[in-house]
Amino acid sequence: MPTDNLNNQIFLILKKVFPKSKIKKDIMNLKINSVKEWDSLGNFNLLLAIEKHFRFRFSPDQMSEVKTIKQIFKILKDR
Amino acid sequence: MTLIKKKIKIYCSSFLPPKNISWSNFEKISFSNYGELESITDSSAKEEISILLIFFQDFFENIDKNKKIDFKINHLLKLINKRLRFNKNPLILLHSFWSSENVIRKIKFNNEAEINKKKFQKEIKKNFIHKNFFCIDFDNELANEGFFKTFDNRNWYFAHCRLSSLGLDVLSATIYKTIKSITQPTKKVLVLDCDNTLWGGVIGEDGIRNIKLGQDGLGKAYQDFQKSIKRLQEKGVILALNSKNNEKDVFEVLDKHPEMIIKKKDIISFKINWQDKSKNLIEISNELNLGLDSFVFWDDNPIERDKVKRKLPKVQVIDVVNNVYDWPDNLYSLDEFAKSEITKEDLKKTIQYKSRAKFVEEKKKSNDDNEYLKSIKLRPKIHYLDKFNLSRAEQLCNKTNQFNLRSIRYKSSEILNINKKKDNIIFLISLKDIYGDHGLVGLVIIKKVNQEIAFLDNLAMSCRILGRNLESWVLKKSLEECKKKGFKYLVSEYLPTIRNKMVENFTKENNFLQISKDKLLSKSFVKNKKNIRYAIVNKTKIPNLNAYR
Repeated sequence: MPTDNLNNQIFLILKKVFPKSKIKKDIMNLKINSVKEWDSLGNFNLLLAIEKHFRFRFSPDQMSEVKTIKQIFKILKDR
Repeated sequence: MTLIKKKIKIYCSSFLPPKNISWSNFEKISFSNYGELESITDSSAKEEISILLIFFQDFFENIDKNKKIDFKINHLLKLINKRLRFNKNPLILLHSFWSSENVIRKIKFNNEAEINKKKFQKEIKKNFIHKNFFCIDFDNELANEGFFKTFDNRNWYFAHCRLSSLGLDVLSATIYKTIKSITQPTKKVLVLDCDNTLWGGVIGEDGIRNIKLGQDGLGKAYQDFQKSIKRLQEKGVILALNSKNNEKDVFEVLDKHPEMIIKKKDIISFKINWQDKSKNLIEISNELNLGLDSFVFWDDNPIERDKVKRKLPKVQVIDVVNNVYDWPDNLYSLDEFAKSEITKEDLKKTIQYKSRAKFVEEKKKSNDDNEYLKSIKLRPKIHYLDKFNLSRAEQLCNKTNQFNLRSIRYKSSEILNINKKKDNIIFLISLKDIYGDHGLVGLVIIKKVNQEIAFLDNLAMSCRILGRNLESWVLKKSLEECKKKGFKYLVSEYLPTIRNKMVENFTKENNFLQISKDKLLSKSFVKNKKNIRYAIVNKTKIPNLNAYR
């Protein structure tokens, strides 16, 4: 999957999961608590939304470790 | 999907993630704290609809050995009962008893979950007397997608959330359709195409011997589709045909094809011709006196569907799938026709609307309305409110949209309370004539304002009997009832809604007088000061009653 495309898809998911926050196009450095609604509950909702969109599952370990866009990118690319 | 605007709150026995994208169809949704069910009975609860979601797996968790599961179930039943008694807003209970189990253990005996489920379902039925209680076996909904896909152990251990994303979507969709069925009137009419809908093939070209109906394969699917139609009809849905065909050909199939489930007598209106289908729909709507927003249209042809969608946006056009094998299930499970309760009146609907269609046709032929009405032997009767007609009273109050003076919606408990107060008057109206027994077709609620003044708080008439001046007779009876109670004046008010324009001038046409400013001083009981009128109980003459003497 080309990175640009992936970038845009995650950007759209972020906008949907955190509707009250302003998300900038450059999302690469975003992580938990860097966006108003992205707290631990927001993190759970975000991971579920990512799973749903890309039709795969985070492992239990990933579920508790993944807290940044960079990590999400890496997992999506490596899968 | 339209957004649900009501305030709703979910109380769940385990965790549900707020702000999840699954809730995007609800504008105002909130959640109790994790596992905190008790607050559902709080007097400060502000939600308009409460949802209680119980996973019985949560009850087996951390079970104190001294407190048996029975204790927990009883406690829950008490909680539900308390909520229903003290708060009249709707309560939707969703329960899931599913837990993973090896099928071998269930060969001879029910497992514990199944035993508990039976017990619980027997007990919970006692609450069905509460009209605002809706009980849903959530396992059925989850099973449609599969338990292994909708439950999620990872989410459970990670966040104490029983469900997967898919499970949350199923939950959201179930709540959505239940709330829709509570808050919106259900559809009344199913309008069907014929060729490649009721049967496979084109009757005008293939002929009665060659259409696909009843034979193995597609023929059976079309026949099962007709069985679904018949089942809906038996639950009170009325049927009409709208087909581009020669009437003679279609009637031949209806009358003579041995595999037809739907017969001519099941159909209330036939529009079998070559004109535009939306034009036909408008004609059916006029004949039945039902708004287009109570119509559902089923046609296999996407072009016909699109035309109707564009021209008549109020009609619900079903996006029919190509695969005929799925039609029988798809039709029967349509949300549009799903009702949680069916009254006796619903079951008589086909016969009643049929006589309505016949009445309209005969009346059209006759030149003199009054003479015609005299000839059909109208026999109306009033019935005071009792426990047998209460559910019909509630239905007339809530489901009548067009002939409804004030459209004030009361629940049955509220109707009972009004009736308890001395000098308030509630009665229903039944009607028989040569076209049949129309059943209970009208509701009047009159409230006492003071010794002299009574207020026409509610007047609702079922549209299928209109055109007989029965509504004027009802006003006359209302005045007679007021006289019995010693009132001098009966005050009426028209509250406009999008659908009740037809009654705007109703009391004016029946000689109710305009209210002058200083007269009948206390008008605080009315909502809209512009549209109020009054009748003098001993003096006002109601017109148009020749057929009723």
